[in-house]
Amino acid sequence: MMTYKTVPQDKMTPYERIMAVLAGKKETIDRLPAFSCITTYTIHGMEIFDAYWPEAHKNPEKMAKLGAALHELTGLENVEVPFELTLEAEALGIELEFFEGKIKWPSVRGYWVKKVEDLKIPERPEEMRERGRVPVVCEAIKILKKRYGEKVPVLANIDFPYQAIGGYIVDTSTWYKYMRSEPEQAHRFMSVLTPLFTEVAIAYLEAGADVVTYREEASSLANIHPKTFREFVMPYLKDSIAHAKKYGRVILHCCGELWSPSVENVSGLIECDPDAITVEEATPMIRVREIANKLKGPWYPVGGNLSAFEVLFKGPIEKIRDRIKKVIEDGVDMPMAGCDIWMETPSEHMKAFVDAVIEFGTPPPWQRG
Amino acid sequence: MGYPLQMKEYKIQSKIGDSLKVRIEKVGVGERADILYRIIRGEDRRNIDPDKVVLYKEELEKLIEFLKEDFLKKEFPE
Repeated sequence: MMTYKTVPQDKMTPYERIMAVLAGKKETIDRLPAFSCITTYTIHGMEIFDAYWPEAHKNPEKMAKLGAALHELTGLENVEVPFELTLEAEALGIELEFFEGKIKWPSVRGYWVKKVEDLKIPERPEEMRERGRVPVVCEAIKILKKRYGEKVPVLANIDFPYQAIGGYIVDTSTWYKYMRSEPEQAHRFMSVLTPLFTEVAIAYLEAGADVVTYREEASSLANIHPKTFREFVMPYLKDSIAHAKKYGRVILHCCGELWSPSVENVSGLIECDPDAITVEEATPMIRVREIANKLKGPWYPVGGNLSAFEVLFKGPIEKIRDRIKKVIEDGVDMPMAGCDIWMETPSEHMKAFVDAVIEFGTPPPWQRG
Repeated sequence: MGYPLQMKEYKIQSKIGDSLKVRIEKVGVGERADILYRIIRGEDRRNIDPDKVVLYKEELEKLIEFLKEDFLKKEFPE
């Protein structure tokens, strides 16, 4: 029985709606979801819920409150933890700077890893569940599940090794040098780390997350050629997603430009077989829809691609409404920020986002005459 | 880089002798900084959680209107 509505005319809960979309049953939904599978917090959320960084990275109750902040303040139709991409690297021995007294992304203190054995590799992947802040995230997920379970989808996110290695483990230039000149070294990193990162995703799903977003942020055309993606990323990503999908739903997100007239990597991401893909504004939604239709069919869900900065942060509200209308016309199923919601985004803008998705997404485009 | 975050707590003498404090939080700098007042009462309670309320400076300024004699005399005549 439906008991949790965002607006009175809703016929499904936010949980039922998003799970139907991800199950490939979007023909059954009453309207498009007002959702964000990447981040669900702002500075306002930190202020109101007393869940400031860096404490909210380490305290499960504060993490849960911040992960639910935009749902509570604006009606955004999901909750999500954690908030940054260094967590898996930290669990493998990388030291982080958390910047006490400042609200700032955690960052790596130094790049010293040259080979994968330099990391604290656990003997068994299951040991990842006790490493670093993984238990904190699992506890936060349990809190969120208790508060929102079956009403609002509970999401978690992981980084994926290809982006994590270049960003937080080995420095970017060394990582690209490995792929170009020492491919066996690059494959060694990917083959050792993929099962460990996968274990973190499974831990989150077993703790109660309904969906895990894989943030493979480095697979855009600016970072990797699709041929290189197919050699160094796709086999591992595909295997990891297949494992995680035994425990719950998986969305694959990639920032950056994934399509150009001569080359594209949208196909590569879809071929990794997640339950949905989401992209940012640099990738035209109309092309993502076309490629998804061709590879998987019209019921395959795609999300994005509103600019988190130019549209949702800067506004004004009329511009937010206009862009949502357009992206729905271009074939999106989950209109959302294409990247992390800008932390300073005013709550009024996020409320306007939710209201506009409901207005322009009711009924969903495929139910219109 | 990053948003500066400053917090200070001040104890207030409560009317009835229980704990009462205000935590002032400044998030960011300059004109765009948010200033919040988190009022916390009852941290010395044995079993019941303290009461907390958070107000932005702009909201607290609106509440101050309710303290003015003119308002009280008009709304609560004796």
